[in-house]
Amino acid sequence: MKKSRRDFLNRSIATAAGALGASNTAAAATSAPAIRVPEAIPAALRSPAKAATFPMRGAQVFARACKEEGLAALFCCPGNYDVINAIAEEGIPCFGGRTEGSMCAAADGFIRVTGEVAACSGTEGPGFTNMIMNIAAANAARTPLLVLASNKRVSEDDSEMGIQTAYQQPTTEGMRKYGKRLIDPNRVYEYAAYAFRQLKTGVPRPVHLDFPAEISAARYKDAGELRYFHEKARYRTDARPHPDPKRIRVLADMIAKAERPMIVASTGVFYSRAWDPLKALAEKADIAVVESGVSRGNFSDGHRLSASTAPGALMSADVVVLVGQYSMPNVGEYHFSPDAKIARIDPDAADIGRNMPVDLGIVSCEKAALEALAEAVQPARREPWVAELAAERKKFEDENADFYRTGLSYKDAVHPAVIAHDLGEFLYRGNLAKEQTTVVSGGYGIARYTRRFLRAYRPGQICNGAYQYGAIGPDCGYSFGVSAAVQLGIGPQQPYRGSPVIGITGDAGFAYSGMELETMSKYRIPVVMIVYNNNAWGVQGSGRASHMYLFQENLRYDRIAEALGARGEYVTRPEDFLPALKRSFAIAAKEKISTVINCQARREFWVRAQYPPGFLGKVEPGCMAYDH
Amino acid sequence: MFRSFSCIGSEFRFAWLWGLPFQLAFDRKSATLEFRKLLPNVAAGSDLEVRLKAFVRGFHAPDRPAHRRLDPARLAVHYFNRRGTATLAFAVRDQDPGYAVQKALQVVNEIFLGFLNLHYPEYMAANFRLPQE
Repeated sequence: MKKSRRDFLNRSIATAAGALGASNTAAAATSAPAIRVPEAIPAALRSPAKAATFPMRGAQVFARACKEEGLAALFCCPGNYDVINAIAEEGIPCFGGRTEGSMCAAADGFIRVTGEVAACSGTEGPGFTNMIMNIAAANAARTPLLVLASNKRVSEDDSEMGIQTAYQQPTTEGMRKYGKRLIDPNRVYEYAAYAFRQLKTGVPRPVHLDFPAEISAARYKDAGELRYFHEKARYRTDARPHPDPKRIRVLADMIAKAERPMIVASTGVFYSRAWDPLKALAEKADIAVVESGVSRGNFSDGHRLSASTAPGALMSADVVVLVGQYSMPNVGEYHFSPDAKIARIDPDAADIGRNMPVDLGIVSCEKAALEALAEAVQPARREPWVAELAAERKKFEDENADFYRTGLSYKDAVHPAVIAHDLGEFLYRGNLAKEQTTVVSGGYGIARYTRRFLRAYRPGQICNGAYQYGAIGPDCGYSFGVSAAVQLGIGPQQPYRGSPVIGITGDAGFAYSGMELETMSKYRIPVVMIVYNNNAWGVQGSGRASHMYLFQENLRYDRIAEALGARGEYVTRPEDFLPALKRSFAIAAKEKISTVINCQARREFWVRAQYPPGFLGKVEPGCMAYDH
Repeated sequence: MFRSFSCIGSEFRFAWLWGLPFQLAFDRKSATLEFRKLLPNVAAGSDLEVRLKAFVRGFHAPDRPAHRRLDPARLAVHYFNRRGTATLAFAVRDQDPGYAVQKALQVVNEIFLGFLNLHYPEYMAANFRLPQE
């Protein structure tokens, strides 16, 4: 894992400095000072990392543990100063943004496309509570996110001395896997071990630590002053639960008897990096694979056995194997036949049977189970099933093409089908390698269209927006974190290091995290952010209440981007979207400058009677999956 | 798959898709399975009804995969709209009630998941309180 972020940033900032000045002609014309990156930023990034040695402070001990555990990045706003400073000094890539909430989303997005643990941080009280929505989203997504925050001194408890008093741990109850307010300075390393043990084992969720000042500022002359100070091989294990061989044989037999078996490859497949055994298993026995979960690409959409773009085939599956499906659908939420036999592979026995009855449960690490199953299944060819998958994929593509043709006929604004289609053409059928570009598939109504056209050909290629929690708004934050991962080349993003990222959001969502265009610009983390602007929230109001659902019309989110040091494109006609996308991507690739493409649409596009096909429904699992 | 299953006479009641309540009655005399009051607020002649009828007819289509097709010699499906409430009846034409029950469930499953949820999400939200998000 390479993390030479300084090199990258120094290069890109130097390259971009001139370009940004040139692009800000409007500013020059009015003699306003040009937006620029102050030299203090690259200078800080150039300064060498310095691993702390004893004597150390509590924050340094914690940062050292983070470094040794391979914490991949920190996203934060100032506050929790001792801890974030110490983490930066250790050489862990750090990013400072504009709101703690968006930085929390950035860390979540980073993790969801890399599989590596990252952290977010904010100050006690307001900085911490600003993160809450996105901690909850990360929890629903089962993200191994390390949430850090400072806190008042324990000795000041209940006093309201000064400002920002808050008890944090009760606030994150129900949206984390583990949480602890650190109290005893001598146990700071021990609780770092608690955190990483939880983050790196089992089904992941956020871990929240808050640091009263007595902890972060504590001083230790040597390791002897810490009550618990081991290296990581002693406080946690990399061992994984392996499946019961008898149950693997039962499942192999179920598959052998099936005519149309299907695997649902979900979040746990990604975090256990099980894509190779998944492919081997599918190919050995002609098992269809459909994806769900927080990121896509565990199984290529281009594979002949992929059902992710064959929603019509789901009802035909007679055996369904859910692998690492952490956010478990209820009956009716997945489009399977009531006759289908259901098997689940999951590391957590306590979750098997929740929401959906199962015919077979296997408790195991997903990768270990898929490897064992690939060994156990009999080779099989299922040509009729493969042909049905192909026919259903074509049917889906034909339906999408119909939507596009209809959308193209609306000339006075940009229909979402046009955005979705042209984006797909650009990413997968143009000059780019189809595996190259990582996409944050966010937004609300727009997502009903774009997910139909977006494809994943390799792990971590699509980050599935706010996912199960359904938050409107973290998309710019996710996009920043995802692009940071791609720029650094972390995990499965390594081959695509330096490529721009595409982010998609709506006009309602942009309000929550659009300020992070400044953070993208400051670090030259390139994102082409597509904003679907339909002058309204995603849902429609009526009568006297309708004003509450509406915005002013024709708002210029592109100009907000320009004011924050990024580029803006304003697209009002369908034929102008693709050229704007090409321009923006080229500049993002060459100069590392981000762009907002403000796509002017109409809120009436969701009304089927006026503008068919209107607001679209969805089928899960597969490329349209969002809830689970 | 079914929860809260109960049987009163020849009528079965159960919670199924999204936990929604369903009623399935069997009339021995006419050998008919009937999903009663299946869909509320379906206006006669509406776009929804026209497409729903076509969707149901599609279960007999010869180009449909055999495992998803209804064999008209074994089971016929009829649609009724009584004061805006849609009911589906399945006439058993052979002596195989197992086939009839299995296929009737498949049809209703596909109507909800593959038709209404996909093409009429606003109808599902308005009538079954499913979230639109």
